Amino acid sequence: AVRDYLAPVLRESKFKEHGRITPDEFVAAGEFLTYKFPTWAWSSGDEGKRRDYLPADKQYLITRNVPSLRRAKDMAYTDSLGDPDNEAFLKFVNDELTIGADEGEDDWVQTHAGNRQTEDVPDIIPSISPSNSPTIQPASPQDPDNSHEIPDIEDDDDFGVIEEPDDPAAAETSTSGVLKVRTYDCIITYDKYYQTPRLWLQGYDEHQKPLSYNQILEDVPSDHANKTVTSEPFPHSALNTPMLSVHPCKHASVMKKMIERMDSKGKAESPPLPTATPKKKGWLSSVVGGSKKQSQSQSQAQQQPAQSQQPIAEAEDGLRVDQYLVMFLKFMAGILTVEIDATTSF
Amino acid sequence: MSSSAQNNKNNQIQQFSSIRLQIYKEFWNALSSHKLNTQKLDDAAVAIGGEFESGRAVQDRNTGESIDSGAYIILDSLSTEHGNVRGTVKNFNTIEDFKRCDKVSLFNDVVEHIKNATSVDDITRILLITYSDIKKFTFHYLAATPAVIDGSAQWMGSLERCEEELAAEMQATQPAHGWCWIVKRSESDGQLLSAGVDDWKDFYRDTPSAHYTLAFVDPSSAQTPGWVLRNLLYYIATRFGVRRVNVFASRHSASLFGELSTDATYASTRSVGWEKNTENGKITPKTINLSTSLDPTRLANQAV
Repeated sequence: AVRDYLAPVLRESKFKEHGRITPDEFVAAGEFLTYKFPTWAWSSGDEGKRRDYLPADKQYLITRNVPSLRRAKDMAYTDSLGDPDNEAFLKFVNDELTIGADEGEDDWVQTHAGNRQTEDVPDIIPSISPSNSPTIQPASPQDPDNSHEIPDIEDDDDFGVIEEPDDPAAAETSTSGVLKVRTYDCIITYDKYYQTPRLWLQGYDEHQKPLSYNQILEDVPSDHANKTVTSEPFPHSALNTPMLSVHPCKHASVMKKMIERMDSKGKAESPPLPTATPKKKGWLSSVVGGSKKQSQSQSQAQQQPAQSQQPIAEAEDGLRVDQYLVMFLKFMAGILTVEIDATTSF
Repeated sequence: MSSSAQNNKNNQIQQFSSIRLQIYKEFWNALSSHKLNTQKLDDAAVAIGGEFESGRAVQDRNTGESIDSGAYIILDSLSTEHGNVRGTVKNFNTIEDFKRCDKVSLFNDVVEHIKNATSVDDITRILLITYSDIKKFTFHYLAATPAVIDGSAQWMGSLERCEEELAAEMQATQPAHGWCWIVKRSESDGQLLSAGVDDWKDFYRDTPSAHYTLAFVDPSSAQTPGWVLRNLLYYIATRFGVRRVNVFASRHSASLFGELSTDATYASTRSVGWEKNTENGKITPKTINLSTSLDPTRLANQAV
């Protein structure tokens, strides 16, 4: 925190050169994100914890109740060759963010890249996953996170179960309870020291109880757990409660690569058309379309301007800084099993 | 109305997707300190405010199946100033009081409040009954979002996916303040006109009942409209004698539209809306332990 305190606020726009952004650019990118995807909203956080380089009502971005459909440990780590150990790395090949076989210095492991649904999911991480059951592991007495027993208050009979009249107009969900998956609150703060956005996660189990640190790690591929994904006090909460966060030390370099790709593609493929007016929707929807396939078809879309209304003017400048967070979420979605890139429903 | 009930589509009971409370640790922390510092042994009900949070549908990357998270009301502070849902929390002093208390009568108090509401802003109420074990950072609670329903008759009909064009036109008529509103098409220029629900009588003075159109902001993202519509239907039926209405459920995407009708008179009513404990499927208290995030000793141990 001292380091954060002492670091100067970035004033000069550096996002093309280094992948880092200023607080103003963070706000601009956040505005764009909340406009395009209304599930994201600004939050002011705790008053005592406000950062003065950000507007009081725009301290961080939050989206709540993002479902996480399955645990990372249950993902099948197989590629098309059937070799479960053949992890893929996020690499830039030709125009696209693609999957390479070898690891470069700044590459991120994209752990569930080649994932296919398989009939029989092999248990390939025995150290983490004693079974393939998606249910939460029972607390072991040694586990410091779970050492407190949570006894339900005695028997239900003690309370008397409340009976409701039959209600044929209650939709199915109210009888079956709720969605049987975990949900996450995802938060993006601005990290002043690293000058990048930073992602935080607070998870809830299918009964809406907060997940412990170890339970959340089940949603983080083992390549990142305890390395890039760590637990730290959330900077905007008065309670100083620890929250899981993706450490931002490599964010700038990955973002820089993504930006460079967008830029060079823009220059190479699109002849300047001064009359084209920037229109966000088409370009963006292809980028945030959710599936990799869609984002890879983007270069084709750009060669057919009639079909996607506006790509030219966009491509001239490559990635605009207000699209930074959209790219950032793509990047985060690649390393977590939380459906954080749930922008497809809009 | 009996003729419209002959219509095949109108023979099915309209269902409503439930809403539930999502209670944040900040709320429990605020409730604990309010109990310790202000309320002390007084266990009178305290007013709370919550905020609607839309459900969302996501697609399972592996199966392509669409999964809906259900709608929420979020409680993250004791403040009643922001947020758009009002309610009360009844925080008992001891676990015995919590167990023994007449929960149904607390629930019925809220139902009475809804029945006596003089404005549509007062018909969505939440009830939270709690016992906070402050020393152990453990909270036991029962939550309810009561809905008033007729003793026997249901609302019949079916809301279907609304065309984008109509949805956009309807959404453009939403008043700046207000989660529900009524709409009619002007006879002179075909434009949509809107008004607050409480202006029903004046607004629809010269309008045939087949054109009554009720719009509301729907936090649900499921196939069925959200829970908040139930009390709204009760309200228009009892205040304005409405037995047939077009309903528009306004959402970020996939809004719903359709016609609902009922024989309900609400002469005798029932009420539903307790939140089930998902662990046993019954209406029993839930327990939440926040010692990992609120207990200072544990936090100190974790801070390495």
